[in-house]
Amino acid sequence: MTTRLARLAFALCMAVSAAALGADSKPGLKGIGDRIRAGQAEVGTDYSMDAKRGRFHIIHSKELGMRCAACHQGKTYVDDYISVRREGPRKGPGRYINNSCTGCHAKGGPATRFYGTAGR
Amino acid sequence: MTKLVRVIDMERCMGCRACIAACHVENHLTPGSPWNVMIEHEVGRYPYARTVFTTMNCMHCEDPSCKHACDAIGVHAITKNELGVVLVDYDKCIGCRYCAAVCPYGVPQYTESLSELYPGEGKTPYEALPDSTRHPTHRKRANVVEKCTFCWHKLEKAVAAGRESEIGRHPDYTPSCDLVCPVEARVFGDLDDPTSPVSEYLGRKKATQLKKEFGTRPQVYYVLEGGDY
Repeated sequence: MTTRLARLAFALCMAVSAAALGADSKPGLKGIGDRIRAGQAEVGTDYSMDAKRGRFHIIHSKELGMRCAACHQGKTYVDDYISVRREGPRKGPGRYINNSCTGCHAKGGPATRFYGTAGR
Repeated sequence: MTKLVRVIDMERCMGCRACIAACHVENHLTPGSPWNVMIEHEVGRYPYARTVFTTMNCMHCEDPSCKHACDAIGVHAITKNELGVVLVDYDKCIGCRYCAAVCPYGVPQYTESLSELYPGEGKTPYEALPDSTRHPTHRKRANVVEKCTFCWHKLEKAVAAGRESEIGRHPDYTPSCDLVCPVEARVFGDLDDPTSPVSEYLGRKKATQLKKEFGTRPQVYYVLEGGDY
C-alpha cells in the first residue's frame, strides 16, 4: 500500500512538472513564431539561405537560439542514403537532417507547417 | 480521379543507371542539378557484403513540404497539378532554396550557374537548342530550383489528347526513365485505375514509401528487400 502511494505521488509530481515545463516552453516557441509571422520580429526580408543576412538562419539561430549543430551534422554528410543531394557538393557546415525540423514544423507544431503526421 | 504513382522495385534493380541516362537526355540535364540519381551503398560484412541500389527522383508528394514552404513565403512557384505532379515555375522561383531545405528527400536542386556538359569545349548542339524550342520545364536557368517533373512534357500531351488512361502504357505518355529499364524494375501509371500496370504491380508485391515519418505521402513507392520498414 505504501509503495503504491509512493508511486502515485511520484507520478503526480512528474505530471505536474511536465505540465509546468510544457506551459513554459510551448507558448514561448509559438509566441516567437506568431511574432515572426506578424512581421513584428526583426528578421529581415532576405529570403535566402545566407547564414548572416537570410531570414532562414536569422530566425533559427538568432531568434530561436538554435546552435549550428542542432541541424548540421559536421563537415561530411550524414548516413542518410535516401537523399538525392547526398552526392552533391559539400559546402558550408555540412548536411542537415530534416528530422530536426519535424519537432516544430509538423502538423500541430508551433511553427509553419511543412510536414504531415506519420502514418501508414 | 487520376493519381499517378511510380513503383521502383529494388529487388529487381541492378544499378545499370539506364533510367538516369534517359532522364539526363530527356530533360536536358543541368550539370550539378540532376533530377534522377542512383545511390548505392554496401550492406553486410565480408564475405556476405553486397551493394544496394536506390534510384531516386522527386516523390511528387501528396502533401508536398516544398510547396508549403514556397507558399508560406508568398512566392507560389511550386504547384501540384490535376494529375498530382509537383512542378516548379522558373519564372516565379526566387532561388531562396526554402524548398530544398525542407524536402526530406533532398530533391530540389538549386542551380547557381549554368555550366557546359563538357567544360571548356563549348556547348553541344543539344545544349545550344534555343528556349523557344524547349518545353517550359526544360528552359534551364541559373538561380532557380529545378527537379523531376514526372516528364510532364509527355504527360500533358496525354491530357491534351484526352488519353490519360494511356499514361504508363503508351511510350509517348510515360516518363522516359520508366521506359528504358531493362529489368522492368520501374512501373508508372494511375493508381486509381485498378487495371493499370502500376495497380496490378502493387497488388502483387508489397511496396512502401520512403521516410513516411515526415507525413508528406510520397507518390513513389519502393519494393524493398525485406519488405516494409
